[in-house]
Amino acid sequence: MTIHNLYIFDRHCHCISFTSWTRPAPPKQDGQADTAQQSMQATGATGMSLEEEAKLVYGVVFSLRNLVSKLAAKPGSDGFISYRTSTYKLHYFETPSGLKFVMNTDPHAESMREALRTIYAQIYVEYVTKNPLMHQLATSGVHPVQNDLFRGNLQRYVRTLPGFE
Amino acid sequence: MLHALLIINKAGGLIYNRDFTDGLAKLTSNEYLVMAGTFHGVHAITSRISPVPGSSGMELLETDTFKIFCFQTLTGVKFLLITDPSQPNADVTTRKVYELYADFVMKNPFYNPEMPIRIDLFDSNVQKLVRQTNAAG
Repeated sequence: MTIHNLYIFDRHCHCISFTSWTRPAPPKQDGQADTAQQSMQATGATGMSLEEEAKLVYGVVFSLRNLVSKLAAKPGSDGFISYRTSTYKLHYFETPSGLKFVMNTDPHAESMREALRTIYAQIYVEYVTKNPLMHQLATSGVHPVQNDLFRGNLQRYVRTLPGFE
Repeated sequence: MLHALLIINKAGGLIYNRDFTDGLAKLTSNEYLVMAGTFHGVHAITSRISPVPGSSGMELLETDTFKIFCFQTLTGVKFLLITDPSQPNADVTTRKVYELYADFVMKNPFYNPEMPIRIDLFDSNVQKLVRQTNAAG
């Protein structure tokens, strides 16, 4: 079982956070694997630039969300939960405020819905939303989360998940 | 419980669709065409955004009210089976539909490849397979 990475998108479809735990070809890491997530110019999980990759990921989950809500007989359900291919499984969680959490794991992983909810409720809300500087940053447009408390707690939490190795 | 079957050709066009139950929202044929095109595009992208190289396209999509099993043949035809969330191994059923497709569609001398499937024999055999599967589940 492996957890590959986590994307967080705000409601304006910007990728505000990307964290990878497994990189196919790690560039040069100076002893600290934990600080793998760098600025938004970094490369994503597939080797293409993170910006391009985030657009593709957002496009996929956005299209699937619409497709699922169109097909679902009863409106107002949670909708799209996850999909899997031969090599990975993508888990999706959306908050009522439009924040989107996308996590990639290996294809045999259990549902990560609760884990993503916990990341939102106990880590994102605590260390990003409640950060008094957050509002200033938010009004200045795109604001990647560069909050050490958030990152540290995210790392700590994901490492305790049953699927992590 | 199998809700619906869709067959998408290698260009993303919808060539066959049947609803078997009332478990899904009723869509117009235009909406189904758009959905097939969307799925075709998303399917192609999902193999590119894989964190592990060499991924296939989407194989199973899960939602809280249904699942979509997708089986892509080597020639690029996609069989989409929309089932109940509790439906086990519907991928076996997609293979069976592929067999029926090979027998009653591809071997039909009057069928034009890539065009919508309007073949009674295929229809009735798909219905039979679905009835069997739904009765067993």
